[in-house]
Parts: sequence; structure tokens; C-alpha cells
Amino acid sequence: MKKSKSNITISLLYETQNIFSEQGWDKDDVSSTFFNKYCDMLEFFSDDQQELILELTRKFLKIGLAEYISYINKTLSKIEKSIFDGCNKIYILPLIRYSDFGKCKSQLYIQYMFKFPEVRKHPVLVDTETKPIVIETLDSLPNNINDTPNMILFVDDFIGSGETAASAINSWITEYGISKNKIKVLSLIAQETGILNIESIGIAVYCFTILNKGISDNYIGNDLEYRLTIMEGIEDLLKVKEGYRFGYNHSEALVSLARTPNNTFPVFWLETTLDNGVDYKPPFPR
Amino acid sequence: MQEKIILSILKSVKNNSNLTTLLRSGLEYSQISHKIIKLSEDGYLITEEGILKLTPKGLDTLDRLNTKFGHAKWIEPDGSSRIKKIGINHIYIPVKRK
Repeated sequence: MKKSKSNITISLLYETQNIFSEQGWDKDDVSSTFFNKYCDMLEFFSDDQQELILELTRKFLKIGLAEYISYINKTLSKIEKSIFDGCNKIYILPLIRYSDFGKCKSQLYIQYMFKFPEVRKHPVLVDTETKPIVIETLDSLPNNINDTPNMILFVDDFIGSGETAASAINSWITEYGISKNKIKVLSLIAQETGILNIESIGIAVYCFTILNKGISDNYIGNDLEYRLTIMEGIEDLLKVKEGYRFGYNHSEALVSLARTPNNTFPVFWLETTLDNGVDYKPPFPR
Repeated sequence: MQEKIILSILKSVKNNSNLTTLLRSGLEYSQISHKIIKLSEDGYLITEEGILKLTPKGLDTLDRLNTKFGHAKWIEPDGSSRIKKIGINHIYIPVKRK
């Protein structure tokens, strides 16, 4: 389809190409479909808005499903082996509410990967006395864990504000009766606020990367105000609903995983129809 | 690379203009981007402090191709005088030039 008028200058295109190279996104994008889609997205915005989107793109973390095993291993390597001292079994559970156990939730694919030898044989989980057990049904989870030296490792790929995660952990403590000191949490990526939220209930979180807020934690004074105003303009154009502005719970995340978290700025994932009837197609749809 | 495409890219870089003409010629963003990389490798373009510019070779080629395709005789917009779009009630005073 031929464009009536492009909003992208040649220098912006060049900048976009450089960011793609820096991020390594061009390696998997042999037919350049993703690059072209990204430029199509930039066409919707003004110069200032495009500059902000590219600035945030430089900080964006994109982890595909194929990279999960490597990231799980890197995250496991951050755990001190001593936390499982004396354990015979480490029960691997998805980080979901007790009442949701058995439902098809995204955390299940992380849990499932603990069955793969590349993960379950990680030195942190296995030695002569210890081995990980992936819990598929509640029957296989002993109800006397508190009286044993064994531990539970809740797993997830992303923790945003931490409210959902903290509430999930609390449900296992109050409804299933597990002691806090039996619980550890592993998440590939987590936001600073999410970690603080979970640590505030006395649970340790292990993650590979900790993200701060994409705009608010990176600028001060006029630079901050300027960028916040620009992002508000972008979100007005996209008609982002209250509650999702700047990402769910104002998380300001810049991450895309197997499924993009809604904590990420909506400009990167929200599929919507603009006031002029044109469909906006984001680069990382959910 | 077709000379008309080279001309179009060199002109766009000189004026930092938008991609309308290049896209209308049927190129995709990625194809334009690859051509920019190729022209940089061949010494027509250079990046200085993150800004894409024409090299002396690029400027000479731009002049030559402008002449060849007759564009040198045309009146062209002066890209350096272009300003960002402003509101209808905004008062704009142009910078005085000697």
C-alpha cells in the first residue's frame, strides 16, 4: 500500500535502524517484517512522540519464548545454593493463587520448563540430596511441608507491581497453610516496586533483571515533565483507558516476553482503532 | 542501485526530509534503510555525532545527478528554512538572515 504522506524523516529511519542493530532485533528479522511494522507504528506519531518512543525503545527488553530456558538458568544462577541447604525436595509451583491452581495460566509454561533437563539439572536445584519436583496436581504436594526441611519455589516470567504476586502468595499462606519461611519466588524479570511489595511480606524474590520505571525513574525536573506530557499525548491519541495509562498500575515497564505484560507502556502493545477509524497496530501485541 | 533512487536518498539526507517520495516509489522502510547503509559503506554518507550527513563525494554525486535528471534547474524547497508545524494562532517571526 502506498503512503499518502510519511511522518518519518530519513534521520529517524536511520536512528530506528541503529536501535534495531544495538538491540540485536535485526538478527531474527530476516525478512525485515518487524522493522517495517515498527516504522508503520511510528507513522502514527508526531516528531516529539516518535523521539520519545525511540528513546524508550533503546531501553526496551524483548525476550522471546525460545530464550526462556537460558533466562531461567541465568536466574537460577543468581540464587545462593545455601538457601536450599538441608532440602530433599524443592517443589516447583506456578506463581498463581491457590484457588487458580489447575487453571490454564501463563505461569504454567515457566513451571513446565522445570521438567526440561537443561533446567531441572541446574546445580542450584540438584545435588546428591536435593531434587526439584514440578507439582502438577495438589495431591502431589505434601500438606506437612512446614514440618519438613523442604521448600517451595514459585515461578513466573514477570512480576510487575507485585500486587497480584503478593496476593497469590498470601492465598497459599492463608488458604493452604504454608509457612512464609518455606517460600521463595523466582521470576525472570521483575519491577523494583514488585520486588519491594513481595519482600514486604517477608518473601525473597530472585530474578535475572530488575526494571525500574521507564520514564519516572530515569529523568528529573523539566526532562521528566516533558516526557510525561509527551506520553500523555500519545496515550490520548490511542485512547488508553484509565488504569492502563503508562501501563497497568502506572508501572511504566519496557518489556516484552512470550506475552507482553500489560504493565508495559500501552503504545507498545495496545491494539486499538483511532478516532479517524484507522487501526493502530502495536509492535508487541498481547 | 538506480541513480534516481540514489538521488532521492541523497536529497532526503541533505534536507532531512520525510520518506514520502521514497515510499511512493515502491520501496519499503527496510529497503530504504539498507540502501542508506550501502551508500554509507560506499562513502556517500557519513554519521557525525549521530547525524547522517553527505560526504564531499555524496555532495558531488548529488550535484551530478541533479544535473543529469534536470532537477538543478528546478526551484526546490529550502529544507534548512523549514520549521515544525505550529498552531494557527501561533505568532512566528522568521530569523533574519544577512
